[in-house]
Amino acid sequence: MSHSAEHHVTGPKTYAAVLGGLLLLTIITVYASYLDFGSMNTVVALLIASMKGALVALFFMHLRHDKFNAVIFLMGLLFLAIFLIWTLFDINTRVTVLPTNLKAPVQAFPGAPLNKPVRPSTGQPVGTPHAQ
Amino acid sequence: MTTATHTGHAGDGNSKFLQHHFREMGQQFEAAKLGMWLFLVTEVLLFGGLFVGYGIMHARHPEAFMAAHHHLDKVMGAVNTVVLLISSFTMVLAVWAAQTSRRTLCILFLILTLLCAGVFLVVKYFEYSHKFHDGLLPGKYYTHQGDTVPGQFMFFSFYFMMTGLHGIHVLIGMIAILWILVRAIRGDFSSQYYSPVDITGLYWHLVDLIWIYVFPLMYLIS
Amino acid sequence: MAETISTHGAAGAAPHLDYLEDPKGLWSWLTTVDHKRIGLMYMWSVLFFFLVGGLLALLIRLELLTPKQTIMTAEQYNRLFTLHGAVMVFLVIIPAIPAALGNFALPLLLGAKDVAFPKLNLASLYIFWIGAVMAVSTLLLGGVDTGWTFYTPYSTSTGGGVSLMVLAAFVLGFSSIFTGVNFIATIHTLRAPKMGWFEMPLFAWGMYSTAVIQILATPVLGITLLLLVMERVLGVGIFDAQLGGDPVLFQHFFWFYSHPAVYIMILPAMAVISEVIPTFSKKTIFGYKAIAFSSVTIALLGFLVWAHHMFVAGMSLFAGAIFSFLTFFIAIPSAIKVFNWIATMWRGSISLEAPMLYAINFLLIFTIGGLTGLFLASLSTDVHLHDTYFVVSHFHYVMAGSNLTAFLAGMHYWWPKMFGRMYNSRLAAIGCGLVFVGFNATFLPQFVIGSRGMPRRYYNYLPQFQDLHVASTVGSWILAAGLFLTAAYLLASLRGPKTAPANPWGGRTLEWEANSPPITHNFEGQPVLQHGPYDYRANPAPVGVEDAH
Repeated sequence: MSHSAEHHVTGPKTYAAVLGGLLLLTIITVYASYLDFGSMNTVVALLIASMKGALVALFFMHLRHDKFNAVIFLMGLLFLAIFLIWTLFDINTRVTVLPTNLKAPVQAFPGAPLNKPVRPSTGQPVGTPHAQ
Repeated sequence: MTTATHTGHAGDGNSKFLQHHFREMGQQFEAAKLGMWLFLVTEVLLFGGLFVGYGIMHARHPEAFMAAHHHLDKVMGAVNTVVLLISSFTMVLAVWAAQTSRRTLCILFLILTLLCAGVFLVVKYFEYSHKFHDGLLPGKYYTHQGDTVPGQFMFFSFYFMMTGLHGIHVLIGMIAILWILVRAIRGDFSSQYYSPVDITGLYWHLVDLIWIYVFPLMYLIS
Repeated sequence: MAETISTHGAAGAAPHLDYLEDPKGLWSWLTTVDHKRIGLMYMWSVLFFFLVGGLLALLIRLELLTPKQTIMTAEQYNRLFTLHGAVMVFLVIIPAIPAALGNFALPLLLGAKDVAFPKLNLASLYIFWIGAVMAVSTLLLGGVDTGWTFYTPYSTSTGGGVSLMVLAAFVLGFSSIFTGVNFIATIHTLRAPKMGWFEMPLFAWGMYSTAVIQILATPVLGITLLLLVMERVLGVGIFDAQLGGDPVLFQHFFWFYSHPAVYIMILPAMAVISEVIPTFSKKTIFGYKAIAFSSVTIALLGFLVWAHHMFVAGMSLFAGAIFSFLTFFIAIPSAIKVFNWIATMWRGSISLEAPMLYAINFLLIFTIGGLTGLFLASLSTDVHLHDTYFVVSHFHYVMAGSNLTAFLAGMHYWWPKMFGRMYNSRLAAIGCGLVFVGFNATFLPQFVIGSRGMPRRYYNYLPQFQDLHVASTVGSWILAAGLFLTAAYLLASLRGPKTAPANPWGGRTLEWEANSPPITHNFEGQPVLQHGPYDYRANPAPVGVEDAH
């Protein structure tokens, strides 16, 4: 319990440098949004955001000198990741099976793409000609 | 762990802010900070749930989300990002001023933080009123005309839920900072006792942290 | 011990008065920040809602006495079992042990004067009351008929007070989070001097693991419920297939909280049992670290298995296989605990006082509940058993039976400490026997009914199930009789003088060093630990009390 009892005091100069870094990364992320990395666009945006987040957490929130609370914070992020990844186990491997008695495909809203539905009778995606 | 301060009564070498069930100020400070971090974890998971829902719906309707985000004003979003980052900076300086017993500076930085928060909300107000005017509203209230890509209402569902919940947090943060400001003016804080400033700062940085993710996910989809 | 604590506060109140008397008056209770008083107020609130939920359960069983309509219509039945579920889950089982017994006992067990954030503790109680009023007032809006799980799309299309009930659960979540934050901070910072992590009573490990779940899972429930309200009010689309959303996603969101929440219900129960068994076996707990770590393991593993509630919900087979596989791992730490408790009792000098009777009761009920969970965890068997009475019976064994018996064990264990009075132990034994017989008579038949294919949540059924349903309904009356008897002798004990000794059971943990009932600040001076929590080997002076100056 004595680790942060020493109360590290970081000076304004460090904080100003961190602010500079944050503003720089903000410019970079806006700039990057005009570039096209294909499917990596979101990854790049999240990566830059995470760098900014790390700066805020480590310096402004003093996690640099506060390992114990850093572990607690990371636990929160870890369980959020578990929530996302375990849900994706389902979402990414699910095929929409339409009821056999369905006359027309489910239309979420006019013109919306369907989520890869499959006709259980043929195993073919909906839209391919129905073999008679 | 020393045994010198077991009685834990106010006035025996400890600050008058020591509560009766703590043995010494260090213990009380640790507890307060730990409590705040635990609360921040709950905030991360609260917003996290929204982010997960947003991510999954985005992956389901990429064209709709892509088309819808063009209605957002990147400049206003970027300005608000900068304003919040600066407010985080002034907040951490207020903590520093409290840590080093600089009362006047602490008050000054707290006021600056409040000002930044106010600017953020004003910009947000203009953004919202623009969306209201154009009928870019969540769910069944979406009335925007002339969309070529259907389903954009869902993007605005998330836009209003995420920025709205974030905005509520900004308001709560402002109230907390106001309370800290009153106590700072009263002269409560010094290098011996500054944990309310510290934990309010933590809360405010988290509000900033969440915006850091909202900004690229909402305004900068490409 | 002779030294008194120096007068605290300018008022100079007499320091020897117990917390029940000092200070007096309703207002002093409503504004108290004393963890013991808050714990007691939680306990009375929980007991009140237990009565409400229990009466609803009796009505449900009465309806099921005959295959056709007995006393209510199908719609009334739907509203009744929903209210029963919501009241029992959110207002009884979740707060019962942590918020009521935990608030009272945890600081005492740690040798602390209070929890880390007493005002937050009081706030949590008021939030609980607000949430409770909201939940019950849904009756005025015509009730809720979704079941306590609020599954979409039904919950987004049905009328009634769904939004209010959902917001009530949201509000109650805050109460739960505040308790969790308080307990973790308390255990980290307010342990008595010389009390290391492995000198803590196992109750504290259980409360710690519970609090971890409360903090990591409850906020996701919060956002889920907000999204559901938004879906109802605004039509945001996330859970609505017609709007391009995904109703199964709601179940993921819901069970990410609600599966860990069943460990919010069972871990505190296990925590109580870990205290009661060594005390009444007069023997050091067997496998302290195994029990402590299995609590933490259950808490963390509990986050990886939620979708075993969704095997037939239209989830992908791949995800189903993963969740089924992971679910079996939960059996390991649960079994470790049961084996260690039995090993603790082995060759101990067991005294069959009421708390111990309830603890043995718990072991039997939890084992049945736990083992039947394995049937439901396996993907293929679950297709047959899903949404049948087998599931109803299984979760009543683990959530209601185990939690209830452990709560009663803890209440009987700490009753002398809470009120300074002993209860009639002969009546207590009879009450415990009735509860055991009644509970098993109610729910054992339901395993059979369920495996024969009767679905849950129906007010009528095929005539061939009637015999077993009658047995179940009669069982519910026996259970009720046992509980009313328990209530009667416990309340009667409160009229007597405060004659309970400080340590009626010969316990070795710190709370028995305080008076019965304790003074407002728990201990006179700061207790310092001098032996482990379950050290029955020799008979040294249990703890030194450092005199305050």
